[in-house]
Amino acid sequence: MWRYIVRRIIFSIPVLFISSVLVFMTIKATTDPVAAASLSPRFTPETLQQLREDLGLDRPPIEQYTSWLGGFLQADWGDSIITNRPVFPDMMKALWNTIILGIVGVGVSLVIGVGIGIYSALRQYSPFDYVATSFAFVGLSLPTFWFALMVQLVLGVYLTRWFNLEQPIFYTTGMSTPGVEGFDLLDRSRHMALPVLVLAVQIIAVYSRYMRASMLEVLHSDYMRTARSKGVRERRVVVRHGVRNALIPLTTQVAIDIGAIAGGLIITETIFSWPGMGSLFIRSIELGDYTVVLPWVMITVTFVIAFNLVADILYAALDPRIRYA
Amino acid sequence: MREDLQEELKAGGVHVSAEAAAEAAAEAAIAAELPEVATEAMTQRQLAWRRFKRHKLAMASAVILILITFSTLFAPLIARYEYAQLDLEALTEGPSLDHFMGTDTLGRDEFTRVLYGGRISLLVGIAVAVSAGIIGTIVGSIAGYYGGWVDNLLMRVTDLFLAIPFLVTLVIASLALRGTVPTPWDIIIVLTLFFWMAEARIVRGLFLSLKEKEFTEAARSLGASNRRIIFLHLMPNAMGPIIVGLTLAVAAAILTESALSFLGFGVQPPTPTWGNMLAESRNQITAAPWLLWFPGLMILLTALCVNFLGDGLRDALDPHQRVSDA
Repeated sequence: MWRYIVRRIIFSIPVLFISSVLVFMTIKATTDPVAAASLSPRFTPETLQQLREDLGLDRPPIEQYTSWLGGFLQADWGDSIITNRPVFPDMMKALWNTIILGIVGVGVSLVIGVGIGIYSALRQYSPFDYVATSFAFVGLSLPTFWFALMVQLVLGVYLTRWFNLEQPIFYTTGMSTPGVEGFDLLDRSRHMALPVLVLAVQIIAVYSRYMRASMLEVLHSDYMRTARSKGVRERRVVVRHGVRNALIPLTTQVAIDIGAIAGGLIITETIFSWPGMGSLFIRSIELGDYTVVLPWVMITVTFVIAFNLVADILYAALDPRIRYA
Repeated sequence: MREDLQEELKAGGVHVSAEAAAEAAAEAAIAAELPEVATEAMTQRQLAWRRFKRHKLAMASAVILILITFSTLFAPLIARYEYAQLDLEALTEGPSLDHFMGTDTLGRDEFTRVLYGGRISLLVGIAVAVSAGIIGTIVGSIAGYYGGWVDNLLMRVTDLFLAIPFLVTLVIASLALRGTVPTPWDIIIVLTLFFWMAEARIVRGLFLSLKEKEFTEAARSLGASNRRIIFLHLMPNAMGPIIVGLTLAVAAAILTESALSFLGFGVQPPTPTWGNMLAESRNQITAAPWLLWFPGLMILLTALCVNFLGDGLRDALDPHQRVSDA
């Protein structure tokens, strides 16, 4: 087991390295770091040249890459060329905000999705199963941004209008009300409810289908019959022998999804003005701020690779039938 | 037990034929009692069609998709306006008899624009799915069939493409096109580059198991070349899942194109697409919500129908599914 884990970790290092080279090359090729500055009347051709030299853009590409990588690994990410603020603390804050939103979204979806999946499998082809299946298909076919806008419109604007409320029940933008000091759970929940709803509807669709399929497979397996014929109570058979085994494939899926959170909430965050990684990315791209985009992509890629690794290890650890080859 | 078996085997020829004769007689007796039923041989394709017809939702979806496709193709015949035609008398009007889906802030007929927008969305969806399907199938079949280092290399490349967040690559790739106005074809190429991985994985998995099957062994021992085995023996057997994957990719591509257009990195106005129509109307969300209802509902309806179609095809193309007339 340990050998397997160590091997997998060692294997993911070259993948990370190659990704960093590719990311660096792509961003170098597609963005012009001084483009924003060159539009400003404050810069003359001479000062622009000076800026290029300061940023090290006149050096050979390999040198640029190694110096960037060195800085990146030491959490010295430099200052943003647009805002002049240090990149590292800003991005850590954005990352934290995104992780909060993502974890709550995945957590809520997990509980509801697993529940729906189990019940659908136990009552296959029942009305509940049909309704759940139809909803899952709708969830999978929803365009995220449109759904988010509709949620804002109906639950944010119309709800307030219909009930003549003085202030909305759910806020449609931001993370907290200006003026609210520190952490206020109620205020935070009212800001989080709508983005979490948007995330959850889609994730629940995936998890409930996934759970239903794996639960159906487990229900037809021999050890379920064995457990029943031993005289184990039905409830215990379903929970202990059924659900626990059916959860194994979902566990890996959840691990992969958590890895995708860091860079995966772009649309939801943009629409709800959630101050996370997604909003940061769109803002930096629009401003052409490569000093932010570069570490941004590296962080998100690292997350995906790391959690894929976690998924593989979890799968091997939870299912003894997997060979550690 | 073993002796019994051997006894039986020795007597095999006679024994079996005697039993078969008895069975045939019994069947003839039953057949004589039943009213005559015409049975005809059916090809795999006919069987698949029969299975598909049983999936009511998939059938309905196919019909709706055909309707949507034709109405976008024949948009000039259906629409009473031009998609860029301004009507300064009717700015931002709600749905009415003159304008089924209302008009936008420039007085353009929303219904017309939804029809024309569908052209791009469908074109992008289908073109991306087909081209990505072809790339994915080739990569997957080579990886699965040859195995070893070829497989390792190709799958690591696939992992690499999967590791980078999807929208990010798309945004960066379309940034490379900035300065030029990206045409639908640019978007198709960019989307294709990041859409082939799922198909590659599916096909690889299928080929890994198919290449161990007896019929592959038989083909190889008859001297068939690798290329012949891949294309004539393995590929037809993998066709079901390949087609299903391709169908689901159409829905995903339509959704992604609309998201990309919405973020402002897709097909640019004045060419209407469902995605950029939503992006343009975003600020009118409270003033003119109908501008958001219709393009969004069209994306949802199209994606939903494609997904149901994929589900129906999954059942229909799986030869293990029983065909009954029930």
